[in-house]
Amino acid sequence: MNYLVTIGLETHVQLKTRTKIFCGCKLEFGGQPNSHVCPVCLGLPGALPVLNREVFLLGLRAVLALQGTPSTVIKFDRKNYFYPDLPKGYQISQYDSPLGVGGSIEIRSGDKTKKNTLNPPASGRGRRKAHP
Amino acid sequence: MSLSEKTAFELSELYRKKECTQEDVLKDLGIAVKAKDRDARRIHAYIQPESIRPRELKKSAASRLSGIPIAVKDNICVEGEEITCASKILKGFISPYNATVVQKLLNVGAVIFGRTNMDEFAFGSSCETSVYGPTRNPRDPERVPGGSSGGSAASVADHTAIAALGSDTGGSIRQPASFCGVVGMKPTYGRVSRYGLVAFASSLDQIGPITKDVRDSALLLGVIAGHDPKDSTSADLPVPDYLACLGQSIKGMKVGILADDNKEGLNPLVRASVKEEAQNTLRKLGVEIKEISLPHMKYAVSVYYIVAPSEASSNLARFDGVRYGFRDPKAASVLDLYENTRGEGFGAEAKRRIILGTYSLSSGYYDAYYLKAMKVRTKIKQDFDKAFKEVDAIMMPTSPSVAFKLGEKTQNPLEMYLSDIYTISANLAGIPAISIPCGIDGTHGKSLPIGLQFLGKPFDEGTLYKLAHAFEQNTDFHRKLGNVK
Repeated sequence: MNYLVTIGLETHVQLKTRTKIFCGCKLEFGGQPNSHVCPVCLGLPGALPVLNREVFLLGLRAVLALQGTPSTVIKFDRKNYFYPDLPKGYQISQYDSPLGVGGSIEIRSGDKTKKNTLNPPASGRGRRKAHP
Repeated sequence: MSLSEKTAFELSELYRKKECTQEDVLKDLGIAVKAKDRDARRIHAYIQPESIRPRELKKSAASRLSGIPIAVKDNICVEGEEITCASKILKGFISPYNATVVQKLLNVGAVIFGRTNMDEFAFGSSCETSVYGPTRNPRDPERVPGGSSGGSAASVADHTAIAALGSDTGGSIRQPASFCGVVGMKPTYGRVSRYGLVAFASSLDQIGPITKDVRDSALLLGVIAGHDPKDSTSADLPVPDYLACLGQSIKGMKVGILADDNKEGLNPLVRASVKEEAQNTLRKLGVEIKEISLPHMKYAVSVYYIVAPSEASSNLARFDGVRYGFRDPKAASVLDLYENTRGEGFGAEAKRRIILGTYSLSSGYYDAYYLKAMKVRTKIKQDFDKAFKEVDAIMMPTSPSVAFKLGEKTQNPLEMYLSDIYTISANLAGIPAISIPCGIDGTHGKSLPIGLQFLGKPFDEGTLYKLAHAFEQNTDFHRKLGNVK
């Protein structure tokens, strides 16, 4: 039997912003314990996230650099699961209306250059299963 | 007359004339709470009436609300105070921060006075699902005060509070205001910051005032409304001077009424008060009454019970016993910790809604339930948009009945849900609505208030205040209901 090897990459990139993505706490290492936390990042009852403008701009820059299509409407979704390090019981993510979609990246291997298409995340990914 | 019976506006006039002080008011309120809420009658409007510690900023600007005590529902954060949402699962949690509305009140010199009882996590229409036990209706202690902001409405009606804050997700300010004979305003979604309000259904929740009259409601909303950079869903729009809307002529205004009636469920006395007497009052004031139709309103309760529990199931995920509040001390594993904490910490109605919501969000059911409900929600919104092209406001009963008896609907959740049939649409459409007293049902040996609701265009609370104030000044039910005996 012949297999065709297909490799997908999921890339996580840390953004070099001054503050955290959904609150005004400083994003730097080496502070006193519990000095870079607030009700928002602790997920305390009643606290609400507000998107960091710099994150939006850096994200947009990445979409354009990869020749993707920026979305006119962007929306955030919740990925719900229980885990002790997940204060709100969900991650804030993007499913069907992310910052941008598509685009490609060229990779050179030997004397060949291949254009790899970037795929938008599958809609509904990570949604809870009815019958696990 | 005890100072606790005054309105906020009246007290501010007394302060201005130096006829009483903040200390006098707090003393009278303390006496009222002790006499009415703590002992014999046990209205139980406050969660812990014996340990109320009034809170204020040391230095604050002089304003109409300077020195005015405001009661706060137990789902709104006050720095340094326990906040439980009337649930066992949050017991012991002290909020390290103030909700924006609380901070705004403190900034103008108001005094935060006591925490009012509610249905657990605002899940209910009767104030009976509180872990602390039910609140009773001051007009008839055998009856419920409505919910979920039952404690806030009962405290205002019982004169154990001057005014109060509540929250409204499907009628939780307006229905208890109607049952207790006070004024309840649910502002437009986005008018008031939700920062510091423990989320039930994030796309429906709004904080609003519960007061003795329309003037106090306008006064309070003017202070708590406005853009908040901490809440992305709060609208960056100027806040009009609501007090300036009062006392204006309503001649020539157009008010819509529903052509089709909810015939089975509507109490005949409520119908007579709202459909006949109230309409006649408005006609005499020069208002044109026009029939409108909201064809999708009949689906509102069904849509709500998909959308609201879905959002709640996600919002309540954070209560897991890991970081704060109640935790099962015997749990031997992480899974046990979650299951036992949530199993013991949540009451029956909270569990019912979490299960309902989790089901409607599950893959395979999401499109059929949640997505479909969201589409019908848009239809409901469009119905209102269309109606508001023809009328300035819409009127309808707040609740199909007067306050029901304790225990009457606890065994039948569906019947309980249907008591919000007139209030839910405003939340789904995001529009403002105010409930004011419009009649009295004296057939049960007590004076049970009947409530009327005005619904308005988005961010047009001013028109609602104009109408409600004119109606109030020409009917005076807020005074006829008078002091509770």
